[in-house]
Amino acid sequence: MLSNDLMRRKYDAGLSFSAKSGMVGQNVWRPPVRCGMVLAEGQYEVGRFVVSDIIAWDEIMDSFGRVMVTYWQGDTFRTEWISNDIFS
Amino acid sequence: MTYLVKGSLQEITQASGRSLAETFLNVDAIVLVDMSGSMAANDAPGGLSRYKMAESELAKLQNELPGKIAVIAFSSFALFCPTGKPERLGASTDMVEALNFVKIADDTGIRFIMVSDGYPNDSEDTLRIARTFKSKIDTVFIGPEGVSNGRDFLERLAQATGGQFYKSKEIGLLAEPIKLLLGM
Repeated sequence: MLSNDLMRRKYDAGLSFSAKSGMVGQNVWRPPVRCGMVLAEGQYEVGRFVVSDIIAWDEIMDSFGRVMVTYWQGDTFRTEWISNDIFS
Repeated sequence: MTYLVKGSLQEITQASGRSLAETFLNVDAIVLVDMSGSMAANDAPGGLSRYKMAESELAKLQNELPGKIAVIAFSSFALFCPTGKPERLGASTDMVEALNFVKIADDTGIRFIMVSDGYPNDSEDTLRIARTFKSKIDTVFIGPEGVSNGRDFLERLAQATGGQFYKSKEIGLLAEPIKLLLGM
């Protein structure tokens, strides 16, 4: 789903709006479908790192220039490497 | 208990068990509805306030187009309303704030429809921000004729981005023009 650039940007917009609406906590929380190297600010609380601010979010790429996308499938997650051409 | 409009993003989210961001993938249009102080005027059909009429018309739209409409209320600030019911915010008409709020959804294939009954706080700045959008911005005027230059401004705003302008048949009746914009 998020290997499509348009859908990915649409998803990010929805993620941003839902964070602003405060609805994330009112519903059953589901992790974002995006993955990457995240630089975040926050603090450790009871063995967990609680993020207060995401400063940067970079793609993870392999030596072929493909981008990692991942999503949940039941209790486990699935990872795929997608050609970077679709993001340009 | 939170009131959920039938067909709103939050209702669809709760029914499907998906996240709001996933539900958002099916959105076709973001309706930015002016909920400033002037919307309290009781001059909509049946003596209803513009607030009440806008809420009722938006509910009708979401009933007919479940999961397709994202509602953003704005006045001096903007607010995402996934329940489908725009908050009555009062205060002024800051369209710059509203456009900056939805900018993240620009160029994603989602249609922007700005609905207002009046003139913005800063018309030139609003046009300047609008011109930075890659997507077209359609506009709907729902106020009374001749009271402010709101109608003229919304026409200019639509023109600035290549969007379309509509005027509601009567005060507050926003559903019909939006349906026309969506090709219904």
